[in-house]
Amino acid sequence: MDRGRKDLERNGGGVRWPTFLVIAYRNLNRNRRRTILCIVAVALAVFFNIFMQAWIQGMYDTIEEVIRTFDTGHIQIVSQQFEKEKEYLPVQYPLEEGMSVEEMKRRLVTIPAVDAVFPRIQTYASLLESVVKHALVWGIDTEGEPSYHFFNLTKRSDGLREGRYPRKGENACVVGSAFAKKTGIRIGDRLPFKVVSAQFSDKFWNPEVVGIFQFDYRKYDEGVIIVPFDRLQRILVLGEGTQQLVVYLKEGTQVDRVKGELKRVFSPETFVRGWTENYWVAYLRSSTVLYLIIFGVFQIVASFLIINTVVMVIHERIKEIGMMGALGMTRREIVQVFFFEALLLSVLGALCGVLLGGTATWIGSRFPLDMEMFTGGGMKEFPITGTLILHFSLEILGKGFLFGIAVSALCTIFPSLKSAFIEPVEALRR
Amino acid sequence: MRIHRDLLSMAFRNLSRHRVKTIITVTGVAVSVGLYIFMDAWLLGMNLESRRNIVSYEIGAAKIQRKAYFEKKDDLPMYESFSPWKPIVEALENAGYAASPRMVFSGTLYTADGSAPVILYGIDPERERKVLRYMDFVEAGRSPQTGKFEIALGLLAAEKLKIDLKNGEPVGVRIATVIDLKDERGKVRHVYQVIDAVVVGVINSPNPKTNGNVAYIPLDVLSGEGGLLLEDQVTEILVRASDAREGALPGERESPFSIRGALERVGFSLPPDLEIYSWMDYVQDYIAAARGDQISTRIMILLLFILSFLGIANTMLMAILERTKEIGMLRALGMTDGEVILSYMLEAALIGLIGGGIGMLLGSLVNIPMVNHGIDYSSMAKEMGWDYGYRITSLFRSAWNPFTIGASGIVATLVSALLSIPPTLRALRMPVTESLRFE
Repeated sequence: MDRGRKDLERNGGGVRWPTFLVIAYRNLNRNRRRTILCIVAVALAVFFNIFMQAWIQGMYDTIEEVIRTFDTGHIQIVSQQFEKEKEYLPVQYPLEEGMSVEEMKRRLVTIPAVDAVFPRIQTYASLLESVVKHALVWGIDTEGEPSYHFFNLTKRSDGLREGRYPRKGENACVVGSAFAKKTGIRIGDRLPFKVVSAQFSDKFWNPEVVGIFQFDYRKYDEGVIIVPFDRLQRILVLGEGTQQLVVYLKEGTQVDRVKGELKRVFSPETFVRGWTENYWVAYLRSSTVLYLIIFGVFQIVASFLIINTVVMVIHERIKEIGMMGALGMTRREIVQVFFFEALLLSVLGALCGVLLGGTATWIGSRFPLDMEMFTGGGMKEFPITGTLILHFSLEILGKGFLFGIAVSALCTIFPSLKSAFIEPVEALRR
Repeated sequence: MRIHRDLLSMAFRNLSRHRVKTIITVTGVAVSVGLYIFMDAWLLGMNLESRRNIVSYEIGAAKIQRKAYFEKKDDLPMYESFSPWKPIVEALENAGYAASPRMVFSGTLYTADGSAPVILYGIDPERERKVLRYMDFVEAGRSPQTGKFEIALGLLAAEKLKIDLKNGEPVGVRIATVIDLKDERGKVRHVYQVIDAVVVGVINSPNPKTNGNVAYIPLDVLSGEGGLLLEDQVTEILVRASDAREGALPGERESPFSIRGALERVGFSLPPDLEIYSWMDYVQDYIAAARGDQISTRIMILLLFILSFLGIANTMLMAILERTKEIGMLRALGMTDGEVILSYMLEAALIGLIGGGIGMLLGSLVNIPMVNHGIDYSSMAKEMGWDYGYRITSLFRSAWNPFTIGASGIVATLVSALLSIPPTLRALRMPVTESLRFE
């Protein structure tokens, strides 16, 4: 017997793992119902994980994109004073007082990672002769920005529903669709409102509405008036200056590195913020651990079935264990027989889960969900578009698959080990 | 009767045949029942607290408004106001209700350092106090007085304007607004108005809607010559039973139907263009947020339940399969099919009962600190501008729900019992002689 054993070991160990798989596969067929129940349980858990991940990732995606598009760009540069009082969007604290926008732009484009720089002004307006009394005025480069990025993130378009964006310096504006509906304003109408200038004086303005936009972002559709940057700059008596600059990089991931370079270009009175520092982005990233715990609970409860199966299988086949031991299988190999059976169960279950989850999230990524159904149109401060597109990616599918198998494998190692403590001689007599 | 007791003790002994298996299955049930109880208590807590806060601080039991106003209420269409309000309020008071007239409009507040857009409530302080309780939560300073140009600000607006009454004097502000009133021909007329007032109080009540960008100003000065020349117009009258208990939800007597009846009994009939609306008609944002949460959380927990029931099904399937021979023996000795089914149902029910019991215990244990202390979400809540539907400012607390706690245990037991029926029936289809020889 000793010689035979050594021969086996010389050939690379006793039983090779494909053999274990064949054994495992045949064993699964011994009790089909049990096998199906286990597979269904694991599949359900994996499906749930994948679907939730796709949902959450879909939400992250739109929140991050909303923030990058409307709020900070990749990097936002403002003055320290503005940052301190940003609640009410003051225009009295221009960025780098005395320096012109053109000069700042010139300095920024020398940094190789920078792709585009846009000046922006945001301020509150009091509307006259209108049932809506307040709005946010957003002064942007109305020729450059709409063609640089998508304003309607759902349709991936410039977001105009009708009309056009104002030209540079034109005495014109575009308003949101919900705003237009509420006020009954149409293209060609005048929209009189009042803003407070950098010198604290009231400035009355009467631009013509030349377009109506629909960004599918409630905050903007309902209460934002978009005007040409240079016109607003003049009305607010900002000279050649600006309230803020937003910088877009060639690679959105380089924010932290480029931030340092940007800081060196400006004086210490400047505040530079990367988009990842936005409250919501930071908050969502910090809650990932919580989701991991929830997914873990699901996967473990599903693994209970496999654990049970292993416990039962070892009990049922105690005679066979004795036989296997008597015929020369090592304890290690016997453990492997049971472990591979459990592993095969979880792999099959996880595969079914991935198939289900993949199909569901793929459908969800083609047919966007109307978020109003879930929020009822509340949550105006929440930076999210009105439509949720599930995030379909092979990465999520792969992670769900591996996570499912890993948890199940960990859970089944211990019950499988039990088979190692069975004495073959005793077992044969049972 | 005796046989039932024997069956029960048999089921119990059978459970200890594979202890590990029983423990694992029981744990699965316990985790799902415990989590369900926890989540349900959490949602219920938020709902109850929100409802109470809506009624006590925001709306009262009902509102009287013009139908045309109600249809556009989100836009605060102040041109759909009505007058006179005094006869209605007095009739309500005679009928045993507290009533408070209000003029709601939006405007901008200016101080020396900044401005903030706010919603302004023109109120009658004496009457408002009888209907809503936010005036008891003046964090700094005092509430505004009738006949004076004094305002109380929500905490958020006060912070935005850097008004700190705790360490300072009342602050003068300027209210700029556009008043929309309908002229004789029904055309909306916009009048630009500016009034000066003094901020005398800052409100921080448990309902975030009262602490946001809002300001409260006495109605009589608004209506007068020095104010907005409103000529006694109001946009709404809030109604609450005069003997309503603190924190209680509106009862039958406070429904629009009962209020109308009570008004008729004191000989007053409401003008035809006015309507009484229940508080529920105004809280769509809250209801939507609550419903969304309810559905998504419950689907999640339901999935977890399905997983643990699969566990029970698996356990029973195996137990019955492995005891096919025993079943044959029991039947050969004269046990009826019904008794066999019952014995396995009892065994499965015991798993559900023990798991459910542990789950109930765990869920309740977690609930104790959750009900008594809650979780502080104030920083996130404030970042959202307190605009998330729920009317809770900072502490989110759970609430006891004895029904769910009991029901989840019972459901777990019953469903477990039912899950054992199909495999038992399958075993019973086998002839006794066959099952005796089964390997």
